[in-house]
Amino acid sequence: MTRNCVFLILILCTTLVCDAAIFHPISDSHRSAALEIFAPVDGSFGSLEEAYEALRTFDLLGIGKQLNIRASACPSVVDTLGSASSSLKDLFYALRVNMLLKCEISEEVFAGIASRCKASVHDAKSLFDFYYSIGSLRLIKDHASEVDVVLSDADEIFQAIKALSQSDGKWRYSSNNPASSTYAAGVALQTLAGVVSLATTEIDQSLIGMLNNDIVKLFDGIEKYDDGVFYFDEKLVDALGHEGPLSATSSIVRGLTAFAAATSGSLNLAWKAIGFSIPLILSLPATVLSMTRKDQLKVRVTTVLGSTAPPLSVKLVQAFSSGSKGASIIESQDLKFDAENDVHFLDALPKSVDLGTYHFVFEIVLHDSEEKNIYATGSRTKVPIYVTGVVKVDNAEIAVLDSDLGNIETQKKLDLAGETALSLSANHLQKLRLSFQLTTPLGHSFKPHQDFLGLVERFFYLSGKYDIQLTVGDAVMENSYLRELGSIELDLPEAPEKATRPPPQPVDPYLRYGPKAEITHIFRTPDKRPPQELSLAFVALVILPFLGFVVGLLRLGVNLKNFPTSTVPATFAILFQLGIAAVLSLYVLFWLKLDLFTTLKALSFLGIFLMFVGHRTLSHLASTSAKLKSA
Amino acid sequence: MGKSATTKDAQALFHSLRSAYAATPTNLKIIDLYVMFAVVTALIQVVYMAIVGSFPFNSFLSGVLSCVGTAVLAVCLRIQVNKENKEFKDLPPERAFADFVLCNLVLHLVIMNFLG
Amino acid sequence: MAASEDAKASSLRYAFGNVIAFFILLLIGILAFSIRLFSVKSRDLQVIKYESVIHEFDPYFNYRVTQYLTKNGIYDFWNWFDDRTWYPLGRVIGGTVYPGLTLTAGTLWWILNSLNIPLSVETVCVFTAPIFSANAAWATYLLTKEVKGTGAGLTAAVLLAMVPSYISRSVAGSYDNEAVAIFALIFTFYLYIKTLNTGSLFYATLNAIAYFYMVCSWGGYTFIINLIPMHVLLCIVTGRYSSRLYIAYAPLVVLGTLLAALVPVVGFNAVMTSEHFASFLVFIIINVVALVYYIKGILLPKMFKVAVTLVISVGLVVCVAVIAVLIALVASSPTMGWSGRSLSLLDPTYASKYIPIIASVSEHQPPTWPSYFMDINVLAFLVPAGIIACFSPLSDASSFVVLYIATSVYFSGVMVRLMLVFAPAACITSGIALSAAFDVFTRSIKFQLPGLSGNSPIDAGDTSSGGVVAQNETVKTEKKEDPGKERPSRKTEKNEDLSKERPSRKNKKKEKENVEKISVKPQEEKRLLVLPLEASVIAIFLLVLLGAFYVVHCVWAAAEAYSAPSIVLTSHSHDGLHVFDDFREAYAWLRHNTEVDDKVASWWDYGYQTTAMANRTVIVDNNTWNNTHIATVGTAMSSPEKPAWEIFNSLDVKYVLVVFGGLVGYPSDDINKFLWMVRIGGGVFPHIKEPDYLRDGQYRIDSEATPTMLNCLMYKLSYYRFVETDGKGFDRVRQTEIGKKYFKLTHFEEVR
Repeated sequence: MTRNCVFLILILCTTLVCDAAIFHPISDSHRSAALEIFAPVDGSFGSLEEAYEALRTFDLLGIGKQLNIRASACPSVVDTLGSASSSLKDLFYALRVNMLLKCEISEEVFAGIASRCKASVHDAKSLFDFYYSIGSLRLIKDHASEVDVVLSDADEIFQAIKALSQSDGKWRYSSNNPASSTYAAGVALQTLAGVVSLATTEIDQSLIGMLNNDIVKLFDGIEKYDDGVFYFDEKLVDALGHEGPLSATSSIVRGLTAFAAATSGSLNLAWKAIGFSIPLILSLPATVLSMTRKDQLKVRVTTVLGSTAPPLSVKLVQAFSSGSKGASIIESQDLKFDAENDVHFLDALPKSVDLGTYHFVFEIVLHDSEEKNIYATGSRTKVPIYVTGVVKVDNAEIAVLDSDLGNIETQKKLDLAGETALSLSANHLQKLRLSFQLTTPLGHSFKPHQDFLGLVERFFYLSGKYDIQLTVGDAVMENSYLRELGSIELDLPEAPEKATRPPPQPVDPYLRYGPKAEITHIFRTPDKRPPQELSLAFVALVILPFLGFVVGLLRLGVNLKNFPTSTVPATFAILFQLGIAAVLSLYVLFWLKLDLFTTLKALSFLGIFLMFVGHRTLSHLASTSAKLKSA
Repeated sequence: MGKSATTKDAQALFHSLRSAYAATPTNLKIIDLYVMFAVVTALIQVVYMAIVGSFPFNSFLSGVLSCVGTAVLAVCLRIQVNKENKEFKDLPPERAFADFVLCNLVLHLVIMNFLG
Repeated sequence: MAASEDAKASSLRYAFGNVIAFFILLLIGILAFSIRLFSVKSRDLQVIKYESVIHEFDPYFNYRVTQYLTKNGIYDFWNWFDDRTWYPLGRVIGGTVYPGLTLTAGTLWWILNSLNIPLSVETVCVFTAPIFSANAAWATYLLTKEVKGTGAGLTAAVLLAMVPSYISRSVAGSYDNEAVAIFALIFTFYLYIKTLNTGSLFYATLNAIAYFYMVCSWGGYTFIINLIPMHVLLCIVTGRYSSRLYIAYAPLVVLGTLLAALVPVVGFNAVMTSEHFASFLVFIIINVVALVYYIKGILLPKMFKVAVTLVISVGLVVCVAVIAVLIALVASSPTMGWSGRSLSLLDPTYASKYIPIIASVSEHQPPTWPSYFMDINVLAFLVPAGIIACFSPLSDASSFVVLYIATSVYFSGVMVRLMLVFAPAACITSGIALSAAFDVFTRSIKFQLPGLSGNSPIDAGDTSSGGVVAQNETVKTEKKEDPGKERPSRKTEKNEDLSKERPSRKNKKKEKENVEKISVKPQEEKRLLVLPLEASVIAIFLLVLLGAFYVVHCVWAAAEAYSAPSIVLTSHSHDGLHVFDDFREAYAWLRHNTEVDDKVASWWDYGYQTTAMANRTVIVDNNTWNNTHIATVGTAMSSPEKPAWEIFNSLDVKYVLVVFGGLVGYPSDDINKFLWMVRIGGGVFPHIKEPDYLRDGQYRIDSEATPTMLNCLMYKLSYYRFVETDGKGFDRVRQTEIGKKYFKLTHFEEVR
């Protein structure tokens, strides 16, 4: 099982290199990006942690010297270290910054911090407390060797940290937080490595053994991306934010290497031989080689962060054309080393290399076999190479044929190098043939990538004058060109019904975001109104029956005899008539302007009034008629 | 022969109708006149519609139905106040008239709402 | 002296009887209200069954409309264009909805709020249906009283208060048009009968207004506007024309038509479609008939004969012309002027032949015999007896009842939904039958018991009909004690009071009846209807038993069968009651996790709920006004993923909602509705062919299923990752293992 672990870790480091075949090492773009990200605000960083990250990044990238960070960062480091109230985390990062900047700090300060850290180790509760304390002690140990940083009770501390581990190899951040994390496991391993290195006596072997089991379990949880890269996933999402797989994995790798380094002297475990391999990267300044310029094939080998590689030689294992699999052109050829430019190069391409795309396979061989432990070279690196050159165009001619076989109607030689202005005419039964021959510098014939198409349907049966353009191009052609050949007059038949319609004219991309065509609403046309005279005539006509009604009433001898004569009933009767009139006029108002609810409200009042009055009037009438009857 | 008999019959019928109607009380005659007035008005509107079309349909409808409704209500009133009608002996004509007024008011409220 | 005393006593007893009738009616109202509360109140000892929740699909839409109405006022409601549904078309709500229910609930809410009773709109909506079923019971009382007297009225009201068919549509939370429409229907009929009996224009006006309310409430108003003309025609043909008939009918047609045209959803349809033509035709006929009767009245018989011969020759020509014009009008309108739903009423096979969207709704299917028994129970046996009772003697009113029940039986046989129209008719006739039966039996008992019979046995009629109700009440209250735990025993006491009072009431009544009824009741009837004492007692006992059975059934139906809101599902298993609230959870998910403007596609059943509960725009909903749009969704659901995605994308759809019940065994899920999606989609887009989804004429989703079926969107969305639940993919609704278990969605993804 432990053997497996070693293997996995190596894969972890190397697969990254292998699969991304042309992995360019650190470039200036990385550097400028780093400068942008870590640009100090007003010459200082937000926190010591940020400052450390920035400094470490600049350090690795070899930049930032001009930024005079030291002047701004050192005072805050000194402040932090000198203050008794600064937190463990700040102390830790201050020490780390100090490690990079080498600020001037007295031994007493270190001694004070060391004793403070020791004290805090004993009553630490959370993993980060341990981590910061132990880390600080280790940094002090490295920096100021006179200060006493040795832990006398390393076993106890070890067990205290170990208590936070989980059965699946993950760790908890603190004893009262049940959630376990992969990231925490890495932190814990780093901390434990620190404990081991600070211990006065050897740590109990059984503890190490237990830890070993934890690590094995941790590896049980390793996961794999689709491209074969292994990683540790982080499931825990908490207040610290989600640690991605990348940071979780790096945390574990750091923890493991630190632990392996710390226990190397005293322990003999299989997985501690991991070491820290620096990946070497093979890169090509140019993957396009021009035959006209007689370019050399150059290869550069650097470490992943761009620093110079140790003495080594690069071997061109194989090279083959991408079209023909397996038939290799070059076999096992060592590249020469140009120490001045730090470049490995191949003198000249073999004669058999013509225009085209090739795949070159390289292998790095370290001169010093000792360094194989330090550097990871990866296996073989496969690089696509384009060999370009000038293609000659010969024997160009254009012809209009009656059929496939012959009967050339018009034929014209073309000089593709110079200007040509053709004018042809043809109908849909004829064929247009344009022929020319392409040759490579080595004299082989070159096959253009595109054939002629039957064009009639593409023209959507639209007759007329068409311009002819000839485009010859290929990835490896240095003299690709687009040429106006002239025009052709096409006489095409009527479009059959099934044929596709011509596509709408391509829209100007700028118009796409412009105003759309206005949508005009179609309103219902108003119905025809009758002539006004007719309507007026009918209005008059409608009045006629009313007149007839009145006349009829008069002829029948209508009277108001029944109208009450005494005052009180008469008032009520008049009020009744008025009430009805009021309701009717209310209706007219309703028709003209009021809405339903105001009308109903007014109507309810009027109605009550009308009911009262009407009841009085009609009952009076009834009583009089009853009297009449009885009399 | 048959034809002359028919005309004679028709004449006789017309005669008896007239004499029978002459006996109708005056108030019923007034109502009859009112009904006639409403029906004729409705007919005029229908003729107008036939000539120019029924475009503001709600107006046409409310106009015609207003007349028809008035006529129908008047007929109802006539039925109720007719003293010869035995079914409505108990109903005093004043009550009938009150109902008639109420019904008309409701009808015309609806008409006004529908008129547009 | 004696006469005045008699009169005094009789008036006192009348008052007393009226008070009792009033209390009985009050109790009936409470009964009708409370029997519908099973859906909201706690039934089991510990389990609160459901909170007050709106049921089904349409009520959610009505609820949403009511909310809008209470928030924005009536004018905004009238002009409301809803862009949250039928995307991208939208829907004019104000013009396409029957506003009666909404306005009723809105008014109720407004009144309550102006009285400072702060109830939420939802609460008002939930309780609208029970309140109106109490109203409907009272309206039934009034109607039956007009037809056959107080006793029959009370019996019919009790029956209606409990009839399961009506309960099914009016439990608390079932906030649908039918809830108020049945009340409006019965009340309109009552006013018609009342006008017919009194000949008063006042009632005719009220009748038109009640009809207006009915038109506002439900599309079923066409039943009224066809039934009443039929009755009028029947009366004329059978020579029962009277001036009262004219007063009852003619104003109703004019006013009613105008009022109906005021309702936006009806509009000019009130005069343009042939559903209404029958009333106009009869209106013309009754005017002619009235004229004829008038002329007949003022002419001598001999002259009248002459007039008839003269008029017939002229009149025939006019009639033919009028009929020709009418036929031309009808023929010129599309579908002959009949809407699809009406046509499917007249021709039961019409819908299944031509309109799958109507046929797809379960409540538009013809009912089965068990559903008759389920919905009206013993009334089914009492109806024939009631019809017979209506014929002795036949009056205008009772002939109306007979006509009503005859037509409604036919309609309920066509469409299960119209069982609802049939139920009141059944209650009325059954009430008449029961009342008449009790009348006969109690009278014969009294006749043969000298101690009770006193001076005259004739008057027993009224008393006994009162007794029927009292007994029914007893039965009812007894029954009510077991379900209603917290129901106070006050009611039983009241009832005991009531039964105690009965004897005294009888005695008093006996005295006064002498005065009134001797002339009315023919002597021979008494002799005929007297039965042996034992037979009467046993018959009464059996009738009471029948009533008890009815009550038990109704309570069971109210509590078990019709109170479960379809939106909250329950299942009983060995370890107790499970409540599935998945629907509301799904809608809540949509409401909380999607953008406000996102469009959700689902089968139309879920449209109303999605807009109301999730507040998201839907493509189609339960207002199935645009068949093509629904067919588009059906086509998408039955297409493979890519074309489906194209369709949905063209409709801006972001989410597709499917309901799947195969895991818990919920049978009305989308897979079971899927055949209708295919059918409706295929009806408009011919490339969807139903046989592609059927194997040997069978609709199946197991390994025998067709590839078209297994690749359609509905199958994929329903069964995506289904196999992960039990490892086999066993569908508990279809009782089979699914055909395709492992597949991936290419154009859709599951939301979480």
